[in-house]
Parts: sequence; structure tokens; C-alpha cells
Amino acid sequence: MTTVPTTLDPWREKGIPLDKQFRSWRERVKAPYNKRDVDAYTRARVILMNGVENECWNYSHHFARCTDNPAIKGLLAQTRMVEQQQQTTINWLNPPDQTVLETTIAYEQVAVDLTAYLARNEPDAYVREAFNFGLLEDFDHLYRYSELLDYLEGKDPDSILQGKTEIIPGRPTADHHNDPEVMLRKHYEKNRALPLSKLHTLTLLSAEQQTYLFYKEHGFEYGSRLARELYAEIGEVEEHHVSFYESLLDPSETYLERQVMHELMEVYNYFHCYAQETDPRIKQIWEEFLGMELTHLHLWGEMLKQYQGVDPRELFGDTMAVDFKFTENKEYVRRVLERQRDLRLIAYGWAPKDRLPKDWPSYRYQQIVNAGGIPSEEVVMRQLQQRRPAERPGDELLDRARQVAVKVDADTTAAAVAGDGAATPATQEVK
Amino acid sequence: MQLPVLLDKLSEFLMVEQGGLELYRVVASRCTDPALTQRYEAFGQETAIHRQVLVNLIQRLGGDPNYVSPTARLAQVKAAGLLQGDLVVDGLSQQELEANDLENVLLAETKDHADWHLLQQLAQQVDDPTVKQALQEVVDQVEDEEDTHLSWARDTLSQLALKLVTQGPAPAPERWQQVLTGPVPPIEQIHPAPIEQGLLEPARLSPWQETPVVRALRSG
Repeated sequence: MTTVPTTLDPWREKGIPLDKQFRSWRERVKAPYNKRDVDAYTRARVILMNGVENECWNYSHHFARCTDNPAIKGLLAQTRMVEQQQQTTINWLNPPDQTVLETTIAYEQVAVDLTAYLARNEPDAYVREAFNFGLLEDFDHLYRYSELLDYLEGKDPDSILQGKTEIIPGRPTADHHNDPEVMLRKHYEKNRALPLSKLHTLTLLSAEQQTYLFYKEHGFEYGSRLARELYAEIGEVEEHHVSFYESLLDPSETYLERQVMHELMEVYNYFHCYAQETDPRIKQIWEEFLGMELTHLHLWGEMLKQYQGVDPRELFGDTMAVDFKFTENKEYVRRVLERQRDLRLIAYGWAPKDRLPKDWPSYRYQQIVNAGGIPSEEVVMRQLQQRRPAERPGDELLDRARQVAVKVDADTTAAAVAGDGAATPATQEVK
Repeated sequence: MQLPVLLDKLSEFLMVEQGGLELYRVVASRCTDPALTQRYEAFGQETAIHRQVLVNLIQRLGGDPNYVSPTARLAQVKAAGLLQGDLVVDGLSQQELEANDLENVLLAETKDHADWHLLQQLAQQVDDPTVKQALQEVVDQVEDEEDTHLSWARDTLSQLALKLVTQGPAPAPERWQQVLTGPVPPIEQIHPAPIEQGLLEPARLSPWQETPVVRALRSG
């Protein structure tokens, strides 16, 4: 692979002129990758950048609904049209023979290896711990969906993951169900936070939002009650994650600052995609879209200067180091799992689950949503009941994970809430 | 005289009174100083009367009080902006919040006062006797009260700020830490098992940089 620099001056790099960015239907719809020989991290980049484009499209509409300035509305309309064309190109790279569940496994691989690497790179310890917390939840989702893939389609999840991401239970999904306010975190301070922390947060927020949208949009496509319920359960956790990560953003950022931040986030992500891509055909797409985003960034940077008197370099720095890459993070994830599996959220902080306050609001919430069964645990029980010998590829991996799951699931706060009331003082509280 | 221009301005002034009324409603409801609360309520009532006076004036000049001019829309956005501040910024002490409310009153009353000053000047300069008479009557009725609103807000805000600076109480520094991610308090104080191993080089950077102002000054 050609060596490419990891630092760029996003304000000076030449982009593709805006009037040369629209594409025909034929140009924008490319041939999909082959699910049998695509590199797992090429697929991960496709999923991430689809989420990034959807976030930028969504934010642009939100901004457009709150401004009456013709120049700004006009540029929003122009750049948004390009964003949605890019989104089509990227999302249409996914092949038609990749099932919803196979794609779901890939989504969770993105969540795990994106979150882990961002956490490892994150300078703000509070933001990093927020990432670590979300990491263990997505890590568990990967295991639960892997069981479902095996149960419903008889497929080996590792055919998607390609050995790059482990399948082991994380913090049990049954315990991801929090009172909505408990999810809220403190926010960074926009004047003092490093641009890197802002880019990390917005990138992860985009990916989680995309995961939420995917589960909510496709969870109903399975006839199995268990599958439908599992998508409902994990889909709601993704909503938690969107609330969780968006609360890290400084609310005093203006619309224009956020718009520039979105464009910079796109440049950051297209740049690492371009730098790391192993498929030459797809690398070309990342390069082209990077060129488009550089122009968007320049145009919106000028708007910030013109309407707010702010030089975007003063906000986001002269140069940008792009350190991110999709790579294995197994050792890091295991370390986080070992230290933090039993942590739970309290208001703007974290606490071990055996030291939660009696009136922890999430006990009540779990009592409501877990009443009548927990799909993420039911899928494990169903698999256990089958007592199938390990004979196919992947069976051993899932068997090993299942043994861990049986142990950790029995010890969740959700199990305590659903139990006979003797498990914790808090259980008595919610009865 | 350009009557359409005057009617556009009156629509704007009417919106300023409406914004003032809403501002007084909010600040009176959360003020903990009974003397200030009483003043806010009284000024709010007077502002409601000024609003009615302007409606009557617009009708008398042949205008429509339902008409909303472009600059009235601007006035409305600005008034909402004053109240939006503490929806966006948290971490204020009660004293800071109440001082901010009073500062918003000063900003709103400054504009309001300028509006009535303009009407007073127009009443002196306009040729049309009917318009002149109508303007003079409303100015006579309202202008003294607007003078009082502005001078009271300016003087009281100064007194309040002087008192805070000289006598306190100084707010606890933790108030800011309750909303911001870092870098204080150290993560060990708020997280039972922070991760230190397996991190990469960027994670070792100081999490906070100098403000844009300081950076701009440094770069000249």
C-alpha cells in the first residue's frame, strides 16, 4: 500500500469545485463489494461513512429549518445535495446478498473497533471513559447478535468479522436499559477542548445514530418473535447511545460552528478511509469524496468568517493529524472488560453495580422494560437448549462465549430486579 | 413623512414591548429578591400598558396591529435570544443567573428607551398635524416610565454587581465542573476504574488548549 501522510492542512488542500460535484445515477451507483472476499475493515469503512453522511445530511436539514439567510440556505441546499449523493454511493456498496443480520454483525464490529480506537486516542479522560462505557455495551451486542445469526441463519459470525473482533459477552445487554436521564453526560468546553475530542465525539455519534437507524429500519424484517424483540431491545440501547454521546457536545456551539465541525469531521474520516483502504476501487471513491468535502469545508469556513467573524483555524487549528484506523483492539477491549464490566451509570458519573444507590432510577426502568422476558438473554437460552455438538466453523467460539454469558447474565442488576427481591436493597425499593 | 416606514417601525416597537413583557414574566418568576421581584412585576404591568398604547397608536394612524414587519421579526428573535442564554449555558450560580436576568432587562429596556426617544423626536419634527398629535399624546403618556425603567435597570445592575464583587458570596468553583468534562476534577475522583493502559499517543495530549482569544493574540 502506498504510504500517505497522516497530517494535512484542511484549509489549504485543494478540493473539487462545488459545481463539479453532482453525479449522474449511473456514476453514483457503483458495483457492490463481494461479501465473500471483502476485507472486514473495508466493509466497516462503508458502514461508518454511510453514518457520517447521514448525520451531515440530517444536521444540514436541521440547520436549514432554523435560518432564513438566503446565502446560508442556498449553500446548505447545495452541499446537502452532494452529501446525499455520496450517501447513496456509499450505502449502495453493500451487496444485496448480505442479510440484515450479517450487516448487523458488521455494524457491531464497526461500533467495537471504532469506539475502542477512538477511546485509545482520546485526550479528555472523561470523554474517553464515556467511550469505554459504550464500548462494552456494543461489544455485548455483537455477541447477542452472533447468537441470533447462528440461531436463525446457521451462519458463522466470524465469516463477517474475519477474526479481527472477538465474540465474548461484554456488559450484559439486559443491564444497558437505563432511565433516560441517567444516560446524560457532562459536555466538553468548546473554547478549551481539543479539536480532536470534538471530531471523535461527532464521529462516534454519527456511527451510533446510524446503528440506531439501521436497527429501527430493519428489525421488523424478521418473522421470528425473538429476532424482532432483540432488534427492539438493542435498537433502544442505540437510542441511549445517541443521547449519551450527543450530551458530550458543547451546547453553546453555534449552528455555523457545528456546520464547519461536520465538514471537518467528514474530511477527517474520508482521509483515514483513503489512507487505509486496501481495495483500489473503493479507495478511489474515498479520494473523490475527500476532495468534495475539502471544498465544503472551505466554503463553510468562509461563511463562519463572514457571518460570525470567526476564523475557523482559530477554532479548529491550522493542521489536522489523522490518527484513526480500523484495526484490531482485542487486547484493549479485554482490559476494559476486565476493569469495567460491572460499572453502571449514575448522574454524570459511574459506579460499581454493588454500590449503586437504593433509589437508582434505572432499577425502575429495567423493571418496566424487562418484565416478561429479556430477548438478549432468551437468545442465549434458546441456543443452550439446542445442545448442538460443536461441528461447524464458529461453533466453538460461540460455545465459549455462551458459557461466559450464562455466568454474567445471572449476576445482572436486571436479574436482581426480576428476581425475588432479595438480591439487592434496591430491588426492595422498586417493589 | 413616509407613513409605511413609520408603521414598520411601530410594528417593531410593539414587538419590543411584547418581548419585554415576556422577559419580565420569566425573570419575576425566578427572582429570589422580593424587592426586585416587585419591581419586575410593576414594570411588566407598565409594559403591558405600553403595548396597548402602541396598538391604539397603530390603529389611529391607519395601520394594522396584526401586521408584523421584517424588523419586528428581528426584534422578536433578539428578545428570544436574551431568554435563550441560560437554556444554552449551565453552571451559573443563582446570583449569576439573577444578575444575568437583570442585565437582559437592561438590554431590553435600552432598546425600548431608544424606540420611545425616536417617537419623541418624531413628534417634534413631523409636519402632519394628525400624526404629530397622536405621537405627542403617546410619548407624554409613556416616556417618563421608560426613562425610569432604563435608569433603574442600569443603576440596580451596577449595585448588584458591585455588591457581588465586594461582598460575595463567591460561587463554588465546582459549579463549573458539574457540567464540563475536564480536566478537573481528575478522572480518578469521578470514575472507579479509569483505563490508563493500552492508550495511544494522542491520548497523552493535554485535554485542554488555550482559548481562541489567547491563541489569536499569540499568532498576532
